[in-house]
Amino acid sequence: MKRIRVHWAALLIPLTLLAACGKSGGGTVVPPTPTSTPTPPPVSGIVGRVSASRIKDYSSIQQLRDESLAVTHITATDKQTVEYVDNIPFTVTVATVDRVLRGALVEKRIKIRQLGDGKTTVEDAVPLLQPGKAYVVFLQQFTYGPGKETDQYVPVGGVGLYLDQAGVLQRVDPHSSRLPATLSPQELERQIAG
Amino acid sequence: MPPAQRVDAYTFTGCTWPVSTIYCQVANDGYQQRTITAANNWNGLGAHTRLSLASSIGISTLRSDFGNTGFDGITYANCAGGFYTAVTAYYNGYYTDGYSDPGKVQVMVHELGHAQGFGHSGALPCPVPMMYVSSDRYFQCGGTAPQGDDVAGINALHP
Ligand SMILES: [Zn+2]
Repeated sequence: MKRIRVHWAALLIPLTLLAACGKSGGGTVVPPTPTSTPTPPPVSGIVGRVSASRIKDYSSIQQLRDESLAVTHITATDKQTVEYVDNIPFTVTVATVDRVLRGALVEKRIKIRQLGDGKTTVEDAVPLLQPGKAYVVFLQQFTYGPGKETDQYVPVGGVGLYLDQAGVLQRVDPHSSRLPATLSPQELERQIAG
Repeated sequence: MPPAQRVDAYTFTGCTWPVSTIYCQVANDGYQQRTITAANNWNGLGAHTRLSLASSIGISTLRSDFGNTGFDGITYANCAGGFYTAVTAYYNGYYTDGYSDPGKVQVMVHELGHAQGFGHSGALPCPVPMMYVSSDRYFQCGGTAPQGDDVAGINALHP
């Protein structure tokens, strides 16, 4: 016999129906824009959580290189803003470009977009850029599709990031275990050559 | 010598639905048939929970465009006291518009897993659960429906 279990929290569900209906009513999806949007007001007792599906696993520096517009050494500034597309938060960090290791990039300051806002729980998140810290980033132009390019960049696959820790490059994403966990700048330059 | 037994060990988000029938609203945005297939792939397991495609809403599914951020599906959940109050599962059309039908379905099977309370599990090489963190679950391993670890998980979630 089918079991039906109801908990007190079920009483909360009707309260959410109107919001959910409004979100997808008529199936119309409003095209997102890369402009800043205000932080949604917190609702007492309700915690937001983001989970996601990565497009694929990356397994080599060469793979990151091949999908990148440029490989750069950057330093993250403390200028960070949060933008929302639907409910999903993205942090945009302004970074200064220290060196271009490969590819063409003329800007001296760039904006780098990452999933998360540092407050909302993001399962298996790639850590956000930390102000004042130096990184090597495999960059792609951030775009919503052909003709919808923006002035922002993203790390390749969201994971193309290495922290420069006193001359040792450390993989930022703990879950891309098939990428080297650490490598020297010389080894990186050797692997991105060609 | 036979290969070692794989133990993928499903994980949970710490939040789930207080009822065993979870209602979904599927946006009429061109993806609905893939979403229905994804829901039915969960419903075909004989578990004590089912995703109902009635008009009431617990989970909303729709296409959005998050750009080339590296994620082809994203789920946003509100949780209060260990129970979901609203969940929205998105296809990231930037990527999924170019996927085959099974490619789209596997993304929503994964997101509907999150929407029911699953975290990530598994590790390459293949086979991996549908709750594996990346779409290599399909593009490398061919998965489009819940695997043994996912089935064990749903039975543990709703025993
Ligand atoms: Zn996921």
